[in-house]
Amino acid sequence: VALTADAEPGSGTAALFAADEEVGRDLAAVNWAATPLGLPGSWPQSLQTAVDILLSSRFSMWMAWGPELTFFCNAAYRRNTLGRKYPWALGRPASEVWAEIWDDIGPRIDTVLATAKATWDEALLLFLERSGYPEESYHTFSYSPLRDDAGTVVGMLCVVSEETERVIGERRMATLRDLGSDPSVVRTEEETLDFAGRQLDRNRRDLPFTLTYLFGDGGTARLAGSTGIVAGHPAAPAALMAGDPDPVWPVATLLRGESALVSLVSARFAALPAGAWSEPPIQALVAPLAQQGGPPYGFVVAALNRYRSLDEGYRAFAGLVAGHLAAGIASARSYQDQQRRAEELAELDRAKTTFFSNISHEFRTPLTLIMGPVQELRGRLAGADPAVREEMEVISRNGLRLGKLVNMLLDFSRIEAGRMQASYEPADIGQVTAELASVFRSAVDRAGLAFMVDCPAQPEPVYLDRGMWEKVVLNLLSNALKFTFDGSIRIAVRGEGSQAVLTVADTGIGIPEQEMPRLFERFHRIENTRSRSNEGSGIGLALVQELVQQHGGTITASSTEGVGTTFTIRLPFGHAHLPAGALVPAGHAAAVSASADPFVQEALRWLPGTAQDGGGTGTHSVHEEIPPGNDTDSSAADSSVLAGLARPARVLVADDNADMREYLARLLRSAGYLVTTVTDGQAALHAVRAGAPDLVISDVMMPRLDGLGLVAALRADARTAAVPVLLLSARAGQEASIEGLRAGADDYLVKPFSAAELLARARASVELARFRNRESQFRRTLIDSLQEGFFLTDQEGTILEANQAFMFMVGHSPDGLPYRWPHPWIPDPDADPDGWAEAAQAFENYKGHGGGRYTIPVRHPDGHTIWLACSSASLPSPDGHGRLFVGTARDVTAERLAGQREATLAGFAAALAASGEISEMLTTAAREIAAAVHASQVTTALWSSDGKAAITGWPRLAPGQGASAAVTGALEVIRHQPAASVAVLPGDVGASLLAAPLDGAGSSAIAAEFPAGRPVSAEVRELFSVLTSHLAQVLAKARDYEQARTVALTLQHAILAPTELPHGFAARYTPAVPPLEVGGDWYDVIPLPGQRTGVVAGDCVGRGLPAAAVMGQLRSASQAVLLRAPGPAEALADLDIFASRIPGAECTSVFCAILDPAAGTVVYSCAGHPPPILVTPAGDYHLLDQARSLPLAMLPDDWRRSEATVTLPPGATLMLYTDGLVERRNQPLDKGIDAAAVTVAEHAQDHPDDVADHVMSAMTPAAGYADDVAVLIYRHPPAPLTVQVPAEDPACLALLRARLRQWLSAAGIDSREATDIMIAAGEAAANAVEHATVGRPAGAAPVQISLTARAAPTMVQLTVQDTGSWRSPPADRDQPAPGTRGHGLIFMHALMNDVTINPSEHGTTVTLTKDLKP
Amino acid sequence: MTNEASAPASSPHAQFEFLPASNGEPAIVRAAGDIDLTNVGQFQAALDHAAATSSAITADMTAVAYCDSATVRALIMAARQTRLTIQVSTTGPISETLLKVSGLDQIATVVTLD
Repeated sequence: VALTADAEPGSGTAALFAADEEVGRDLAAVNWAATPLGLPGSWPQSLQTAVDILLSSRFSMWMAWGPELTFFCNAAYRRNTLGRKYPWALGRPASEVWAEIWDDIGPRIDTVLATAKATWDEALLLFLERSGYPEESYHTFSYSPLRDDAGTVVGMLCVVSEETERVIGERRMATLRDLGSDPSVVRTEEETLDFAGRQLDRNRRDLPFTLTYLFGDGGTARLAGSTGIVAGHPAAPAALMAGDPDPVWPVATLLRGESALVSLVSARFAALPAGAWSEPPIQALVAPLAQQGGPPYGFVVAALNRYRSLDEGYRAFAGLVAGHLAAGIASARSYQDQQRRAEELAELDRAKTTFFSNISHEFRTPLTLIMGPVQELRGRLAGADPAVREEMEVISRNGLRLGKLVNMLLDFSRIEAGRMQASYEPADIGQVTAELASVFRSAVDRAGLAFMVDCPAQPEPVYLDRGMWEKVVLNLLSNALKFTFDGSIRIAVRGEGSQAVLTVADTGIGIPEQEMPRLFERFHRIENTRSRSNEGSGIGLALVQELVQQHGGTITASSTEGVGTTFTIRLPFGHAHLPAGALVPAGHAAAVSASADPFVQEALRWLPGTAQDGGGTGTHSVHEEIPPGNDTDSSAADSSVLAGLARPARVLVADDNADMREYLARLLRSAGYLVTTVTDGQAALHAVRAGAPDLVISDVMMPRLDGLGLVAALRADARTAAVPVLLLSARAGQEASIEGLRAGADDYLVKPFSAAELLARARASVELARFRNRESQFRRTLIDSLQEGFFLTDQEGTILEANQAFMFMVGHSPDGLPYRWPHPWIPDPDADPDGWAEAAQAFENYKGHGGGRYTIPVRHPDGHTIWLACSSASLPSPDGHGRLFVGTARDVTAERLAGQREATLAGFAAALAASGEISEMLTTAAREIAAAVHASQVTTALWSSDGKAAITGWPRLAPGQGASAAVTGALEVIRHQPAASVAVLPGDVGASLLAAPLDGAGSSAIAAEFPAGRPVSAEVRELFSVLTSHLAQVLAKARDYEQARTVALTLQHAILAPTELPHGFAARYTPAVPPLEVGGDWYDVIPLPGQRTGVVAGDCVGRGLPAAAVMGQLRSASQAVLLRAPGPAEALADLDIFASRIPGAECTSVFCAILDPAAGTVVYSCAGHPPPILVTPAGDYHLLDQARSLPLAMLPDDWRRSEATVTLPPGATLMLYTDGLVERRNQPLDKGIDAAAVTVAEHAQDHPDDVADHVMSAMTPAAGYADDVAVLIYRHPPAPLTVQVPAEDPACLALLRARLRQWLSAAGIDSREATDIMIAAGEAAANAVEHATVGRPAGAAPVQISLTARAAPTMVQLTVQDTGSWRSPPADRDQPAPGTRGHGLIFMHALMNDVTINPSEHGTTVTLTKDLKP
Repeated sequence: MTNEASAPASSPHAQFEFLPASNGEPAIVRAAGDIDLTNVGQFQAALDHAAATSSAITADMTAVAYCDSATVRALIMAARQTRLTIQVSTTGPISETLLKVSGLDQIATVVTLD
């Protein structure tokens, strides 16, 4: 058996303090003799036990004992609270130890001592001077009373848990949370600082005052914000000059980016505000507001709480506050920069448009001045030298070409400026188009291409601006010719419903797929393609598109590389889609204007055989001259943005259109992004979940999961909710973009869009995301730095985010996030239904009330259960749907266990207090302990002085069942251990046992059994120790009490009446004052010589113990005098003398009588006592009210006491009593006596015991007897019983028995004796029946059975007689043969004292005699 | 001398109850009231029935107010046939004296209940 007792047997001081070596040693060193408690050896058991419990506990406790409340504490309290006061405090008055907080705790302790009720305080603020300065600290504690061995409250025990860290941590956390709760993303610097200031001002405990300075030009610091201090205070100058040699705050240090601790104890800091405290701060921490990659923005002055030391936590808090302010300023400044940049870009755009517009005009003037004279010269020089004419042609052609370019630019400028003046006139689009096409026929023919024109007249007019339409058709045809080397060009017009459709199709080189998206982009040129000319401005198709759109139409292109390209334009018939002011009647302008000429001229020049200037390379310069446009601008800007980022931004492109996908990818890659492409929303979702990119660019229309669905899915998942999404859609208009933004997209771009626009938007989104990430990085660092658990949940209870502390507490990995309800650490409903119910309840409350405070059990994977106190608050979800909950969690397992233990101990104490004797108490204790520690069986043993053990247990042991061998062994082992030891021992088959002695004397022990597989935890062991220690205390008291009570009862019984009354008597005694069993009343039955019996009833004055003392003496005296005195009168006269000598015996009332049963007489005399009642069996009654005189010792000298004699009829009942039975307030005594007499009369033939019971209960007043009551009943032997029955009657035996039973009862025969007599008589009667029925000659006279019974005071005699013939019993009496009634005779002999059988020819007589016990 | 015409009401005749064996528990014959010559046959029959159907019988006599040697004989007969347990009360008719003189305590298990 492995024994691991906590304490070693020992004696003296060392053993008393053995539970903790270190504190014990210091306690032992205290000069106890100088304290009111005296030397430890003299301490009461209760104090010793309390000290032992204190020292054994790992929970922080102190206690105070005795008149001066002498102080004790344990190691935990020393460590957590006492600090430098240890060991000085040990043995000192508590008021001295805690002088600084005595005003707070003194009254509480007084309350505990006065009322014996425990107090409870949660997180009480106390200023402890344990570390050399008054320290802000918070304590949750309870004071409970301690009692000495007599049960008096003489001290108190304080179980305390310090909550300073929690309270202060929560307060700081609240401030940091408030700082981060700014709902608006963008603020100005001023707004940001104002907001932060309001938050900081709410925590004047940690930050009595703060100052925020920002550095301006030249290093001058300007006061930008303050809390808790008024403007103009010497400590808060509005500006700190750079060159100040002795600035108020160490600006130079701060400019270097270093923090400083500034003492506030100097004249310049006089009269500082104190914040939430009564005294001003004495130190301030000054921290720079750091800027990434630059000098600090400024600095913050944080005045420090003088009641807390500047520890790591405080420093970190101040650092986080500074960090937050810096981040806010960075954010505000970055926002301002962005705003400014956007405005600059817009301004640039406006300037560009104006420039083009102006420059075009400026070009036209000189061009006109060139072209006019050139045409003139051409005419004049018609006959000139061919070389001169050739030169002229070159000038003319290029002049035309320049004019065309300028016109196109002008058109754009007009469109962009909204100044394009269109005049739409009704026209037959087929006819107009055919005419324009014809202009190109010669050029196409010359190129060797087939030219198919299919432009039939249309039934409805299309409203066209002729000039614009001409440009559309000529541009398209020119384009087709340029890129087509063989095959055909086909132009066709047809009606399609409400639209006219123009198609221009060629069999040219086609357009590469990736170029298609940019086809209509301004200044975009498809590089490296084979064409008839390298020239081209890249604005032709863009202009075509603009013009078509002006007409309310659309243009699309389709192309296959190597096969050809088709452009399709759709224009509505009619004019409903056009502005009414721009409509004009049908004119008669020529179908083809002069402006067609440059197109044709240019085209002809590309063709072989017509190249006058060598293939048109000469026009290259024109292309160069055109401003390069946004492309270059934006890529320059992009690269600068990307250069500022630590790593290239990752972009995910989702588009089902491969062209678009490729195009976007190429575009983005060229700007320095890392690009991944996917083909639909579903794939995008997967890709984002695998690794979040910096930006998602997605088309709206996609198979499987479209763009809006993708955004919704991303936003629904907390891990991807922050990923920025840029949606692309072909759908224009505000509604579409609102829909996209509502779905959660960050930006929305309508196709077609320019590359520059896309890149600009992408850049903005990435920057925003990066900014957000920095925020979240900051947040994550912040929450991970918290020691408390932090978590974020949604409405369904899913934990979306949690810090390391939380995950550590619940023992799961953050990789598993999100954790859905029920979380894996919630107790299993089957394995731990209670824990599950508790958690489920908390969850319901949480859902129902939106957070709040709750405590839940958590099953740690390593098997133990911890308790988390959670506090959560709800906030709107950033995506606008539903709410999120931010919560903190704290491990309160220790507190909870301590609380549970307190509650368990209180319940345990209450249960024990309610149980009476020791065995009941032990059963109760076993039951309570079994429930508290979840033991399968708890067994207690009490050893008596002879070494036998009385075993009790819970669940109750069956009668005769003992404890198991293992339990018995454990109890034997532990019983000799010192008090308060606890041992863990092996039980049966893998079970474990906890055992403890219940005293230090080896005479009691307790053991708890735990089933196999349930190891005993330290908590259970400690709880068991606490409970058994308490039980030991209570048991010791109970044993003392029980012993005292036994002694008292023995003494009482010695002076009370005889416990064994002679036959025929019954008595009842009820003292008025419980728990005494004696009072001033008494009765007595005294056997006297000559078969006579003396009976006495008396009543001393007073009640309770003094009256009982007098009574005892008078009773002894009356016994003596009755034995000597010739009669009752003389006996009373002797008692008179006796009573006069006993103080308090005067005036005692006594009734004294001598019974002579043989003579049937009673001689009596009465000394002021109520008259006894005599009742006949018939129920007549009268009172023994003669021979009356005054009470004892009250008789005048010459008076003599008299006697009276009364005859007792057979079966009469005599009742003596004291006045408590009959005396009632406001009622004459006669009435009570009468009522008692009537009750006795009603039961005149019942057993005397029954009579006594009936009288006592019938006379009991509603509120119980107010006085002592004594009742003595005597039943005079009744008249003999005579019954005769016919033997043939089957019921004859039952009849005989019934009469006999009744008579025996009336004779006052005890029930065991009555049963024996009944059986003997029954056997005799059964024999008689047999005599009458077996072997009787026919015609014989019917047999009669008669029974006679006579009672004398000490014997009963019965005679059973029949008129039949006797049958001899078999020879062998011990071996009765089957079928005979051989036992009958044996039974008669066994049960009766004498059996006589008298057979004769006239019948048989059986005489049975039974001696009654005296 | 007077002949009694009718039996007083206070003479209850015995009631017998038979509970068959179940779940390994013995069959129980429970008697209550007075057993005398007139009804000992019923008691005997109940015991015989129980003995025939069960290898062990419990005779519950705790509610019996009166019985005589005929009852004791019936119990002895039953104890010879089967394993008999007799439950008696301390105040009932089957006292220790009766058990001893009849030898019933040697062939049956006697359990005395308060």
